[in-house]
This record gives sequence, C-alpha cells and structure tokens, in this order.
Amino acid sequence: MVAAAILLRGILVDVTATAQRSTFVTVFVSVVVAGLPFVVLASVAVAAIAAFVPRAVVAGPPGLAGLVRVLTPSAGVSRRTAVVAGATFLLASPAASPVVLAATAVAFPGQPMMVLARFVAGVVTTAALGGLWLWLTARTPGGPGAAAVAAGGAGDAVAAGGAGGAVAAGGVGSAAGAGTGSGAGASRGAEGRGGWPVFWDRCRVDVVRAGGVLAIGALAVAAFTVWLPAPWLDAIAHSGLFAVVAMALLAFLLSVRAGADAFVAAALSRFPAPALLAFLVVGPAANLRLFTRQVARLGPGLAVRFAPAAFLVALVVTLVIGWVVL
Amino acid sequence: MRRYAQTALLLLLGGMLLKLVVTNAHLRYVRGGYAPLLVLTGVVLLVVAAVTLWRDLRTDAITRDDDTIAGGLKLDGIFGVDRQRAARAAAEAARAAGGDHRDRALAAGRAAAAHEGLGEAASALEPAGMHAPTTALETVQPGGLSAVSGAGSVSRTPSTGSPPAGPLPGAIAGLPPRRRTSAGWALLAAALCVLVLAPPALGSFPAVRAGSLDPARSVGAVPEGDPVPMSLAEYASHAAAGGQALAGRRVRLVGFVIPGPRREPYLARLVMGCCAAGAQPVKIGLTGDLPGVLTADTWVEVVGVYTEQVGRDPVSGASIPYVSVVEVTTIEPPAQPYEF
Repeated sequence: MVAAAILLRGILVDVTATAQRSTFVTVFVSVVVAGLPFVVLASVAVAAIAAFVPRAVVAGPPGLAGLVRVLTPSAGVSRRTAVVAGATFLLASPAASPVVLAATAVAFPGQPMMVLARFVAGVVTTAALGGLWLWLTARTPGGPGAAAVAAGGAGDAVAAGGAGGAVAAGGVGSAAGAGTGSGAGASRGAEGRGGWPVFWDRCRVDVVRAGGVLAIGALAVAAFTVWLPAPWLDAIAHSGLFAVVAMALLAFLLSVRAGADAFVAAALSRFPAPALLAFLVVGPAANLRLFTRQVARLGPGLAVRFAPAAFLVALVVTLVIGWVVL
Repeated sequence: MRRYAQTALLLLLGGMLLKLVVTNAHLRYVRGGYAPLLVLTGVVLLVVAAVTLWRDLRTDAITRDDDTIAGGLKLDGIFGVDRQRAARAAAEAARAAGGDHRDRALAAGRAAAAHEGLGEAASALEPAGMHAPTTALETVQPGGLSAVSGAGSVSRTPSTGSPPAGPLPGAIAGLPPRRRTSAGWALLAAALCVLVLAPPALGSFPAVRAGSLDPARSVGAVPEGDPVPMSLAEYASHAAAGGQALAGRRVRLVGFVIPGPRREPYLARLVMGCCAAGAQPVKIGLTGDLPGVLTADTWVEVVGVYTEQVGRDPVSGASIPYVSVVEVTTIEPPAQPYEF
C-alpha cells in the first residue's frame, strides 16, 4: 500500500513536472477547493429540507403558479397564499437561494453588482420560464409528470438533489403537480420525509454528485487555461456578443450546480462580466443534466421544445439585465 | 460510485480540507479568509462520513445475526456490499408483500446477490406478482438504507416491516431516473491531487500567458518608510497615474521572475480574485543594475526607484511600467504567494 503510494507519487510527480501540467493541477484543485464549501452547504440545506420539512410547507400551494401570479398583474383570488408559495419557490430556486447568492458574492469579491445582476436576472428568468411552462402544459393537457419537471425546468433548485432534488423537482414540483399523481411524483412521495436516515444519505449522495460535477467543471476550466492558445481565448473573450453566447453554451454543457458554478465562472476571469453573468443565469435554467432529466420524464417531444426556449429566455434576460446592471 | 466508495471519498475530502488549513497550504489555492469555511466544511464532511459508516456497520451487525435471511450470502469485498444490501432489501420487499414466504425471499435475495445488475432482483420478484420498490434497486437512493434496517428488524418483530407503498415504477419500466454518482470520481481525483501532489502555487506559466491586469484608477498615498514596501499592483497604479507620488522614493517589490518578450526579466505577481484559477498577473519591467542571470520562477525582492520607461505587454498590448533596480535579492517564496 505504502509502496504503491510512493510509486504512484513518483509517476504523478513526473507527469506533472512541467509548468504546464503543474498549472493544470493547481487550477483544477483551486476551483474544487473554492467551490466545495458551497456544494456541501447547499447539500446539507437540501437534505435537511428533504428529511425534516413537512411536504405541505415546502410545497403547500403550487409554488410556481404562485410565483407567476405574484409577478403578473392579473392576480389570483388568494393573493396571500400565492405570495407565500411564490416566495418559497423562489428561495429554493438558484435565483434567490441564500447559499447561491453568498457563493456568488465570495466568487466575485468586490463586485456586488454581479450578485445583484444574478439575483434579478435569475428571478426574471424563473418567472418567465414558469409562465412559459404553465402555458405549454395548459396547451398539452395531461403531460406526464408535467409539473414535477416544471420546477426543474424553471429553476434547478439549490443544488437540486438530482432526480429528486427535494426542493426543485421533488418538493415544489410534485406539489404543483400533486393532482396529476404521476409515477415519478409518487415514487418520491414514498421516500418523502424520512428523518435522519434520509438526511444522512441525501447529504452524502448530493455532495458526491454536485461535487463531482464541480470537479468536472474545474477540469474543463483548467484545460482552457492551460491548453487553449492564449490568443484564441482572448479573441473569444473580447468578441462581445459571441463571448456571451459561448459562455452560455459552456454553462449548458458543463451543468455545474448553481452556487458552485460561480467559482467556475470566476476562474474564467478573462471574459467580460456580461459573459460571466450569462454562465450564471443560463446554467441553472437550461443545462445538459436538466435536459436529459426532462427527456426521461416528459419524452423528447416536449423537452426538445422547452430546453432551447429556456436557453433563449435566459440568454435574452442576461443581455438585458447585464446591460442595465453591470 | 458505490456507497462505500462515496463514504471513503467524503472522508478523504474532509481530511484534505483540514490538512490544507493546518499546513497553511490553502493559501496556494484560495484567499486566506477561506480558512474557517474550509474547516467547517471539512468537519461537516467527516461527520457525514462517520455517521454513514456507523449506520452501515450497525446495520451489518444486526443483519449478521439474522441468518434466516442473509445467512447464505457472503460479503465479497468491501465494494460488493451494495449487492448484499440490495439482496436483503429485495428479500425484505418479498417478505413485506408476500407474507412469510421465506423461500421466495431467499430466492430473490440470492438472485440479486448472484447477478451484478440489480434489475435481476426485480425480475426475480416479478413472477410472484410483486413490484420491487425502487429503493431496493437503487442503492444510492435515500430510502435504501431504511429498507435494509427494516430487513434487520423484521425477523425479530415481523410487524414492523414497512410495506412498499403501492405499485412503484420498477427498474425495468425504466421510469425512475438513475441517480448517477460517477462524477464523484473527478472529485476523488481532486482530493488525490491535493494529498499526493500538493500542487504548488501558480507561477510564471499562467503569468506569461495572460495579459497584465489593468491598473486601478484610484491610488492612495504612498506610505512612510524607506524603502517603501509596495504591492506590484499598487506600483503599477501609481505608475499609470504618472508616478509623481513615487518621485524621490525607493520602493521594495516582491515577486517572481518571468521572461519578457525579448527574454529580458520581468517581475510578476498574480492577483487573485476568489481562487487561484482566476488569478491575473501584474507585470513590472526591470531595468538598471541587474544581476547577470535571473531564472524564471525565482522569487526576488527588488529595491528600486520609479522610472518613466514603459514596455508593451506581449499578450494584451497594455503598457507595462518599469522600475529602475538598485538591489535584487533572491528570497524564499512567501507564504502568501498572491496579491489581492
């Protein structure tokens, strides 16, 4: 064991001997170390909600519908209920989650406008996607598990615990679709509030999953930093609108959880602020992980229509808010 | 990634974070203010891992007594335990749904243990008209362990077993999305990199590749002292403001050496945002009384005076201020390698 470790160390040290490779490793490690505390914080928060908060509180009245009703002039009958539901939903979404905003503030020290821009753009995107979703599902009645994905689609929760992200897909989502009684919703209902066993298991799995995705994002950033020729990187970074679209696409591909994504964005410091904002706003609204989940739940038909729409909405909101705030 | 591998990963990560803070090595990767957050995170990770281990050991101990269900099964290495767990959970499911059909439960359990794919357990249960709960088939799902603890206790007090809640979507129907944890291996790679390699702070490689940071627009007063200790970023800002504040003052700058566009030595330091990854260099040209050889990545302390000479950054084309060197001393790399 010890001999193997020494041997392994010898090989690794040789492999990382050049300045290039050692830079790669340092960049990789630094993004992981910087993002990990927020991954763990978010995972513990989600696990606690999943394990201890009664479903009725998390999901009470349809949160998404509530949010939309609050933000649109044609307020519904029970405005107060709608406000509570909307606020709950929003707090769980990456737009206004305290953990995500704190992570953004730490990742961009001395740039409070970045936090504000992310907050505003995130709320607007969530509301817009919520409206879009309700409209889509109203036109296609009986979409299977529709509402469950609505939450996932409109906003990936605070490090949504994957499939059953207690708050995103599981909590708010399945409550919004409580009436549909879809298969996915039912299975999650069964594992619903489970006390300490659920808490510990969810903590572990969420840290591994979200931390793993963060590490993959860190690997990508390290590769860009070290192997992409510097003039190319600068050319993309200074290409205006293209830089914004490129970062949005990168966010879609990397699918880093909200919160940890701020550190991946901050590592690409050569890009202008609006491009980094695009990474932070588009990522939670539309990403590969979310897309595969939507395909599994909704079927390809609906997912293929919703994901690009979400991407475009988030991109446009980013451009407008970025122009106004940043 | 299996359950025990996940637990081991959390242990490793928690230990890694604590080690970074204890050895002060975290300063190579993140800001100094991060230390409390890293300690807190490390402790939380260790607690989660410890509780998971404790619960697993307790569950295994209970189930070992219970040879009516798990007796025929042998642990095949630490990473095979999941299969055992699934087998027991499957046996429990059969029990809860079909009463005391011990034979059937054993058959299902054996099937699950014998086959690598957990879906086999479900097909073994299918003929009996039962639906295996997703929790039994997907060992990483939170419900999994509760089902297993149930398997342990049910043989003693058969009434406490929790029956599966109605016909749930089976693994074969393919509805429940798998909770993939394979990304965890990338996280493991990061932990191993820190523990085995202890990668150094960033140096000349990223500094040469990136353009010099834009100097701050506002500059403070130059503090007392001769020579005045000053960060490279401060010096660049003063120089960009015209250098009047530096007139007649000697400054002391600390940084590492990088090669300039014509192999002439530049003094550089990386300015960190939140973590090393986004760090951007400040470059200062050196002129005057220089030693013959300055190798890249050597840390030096330079005492010098302001000069109006400027150069061009080969990457970004920004202007690079120069300092006229009076004295150069080679030093050990400082504990805090970055500026902020």
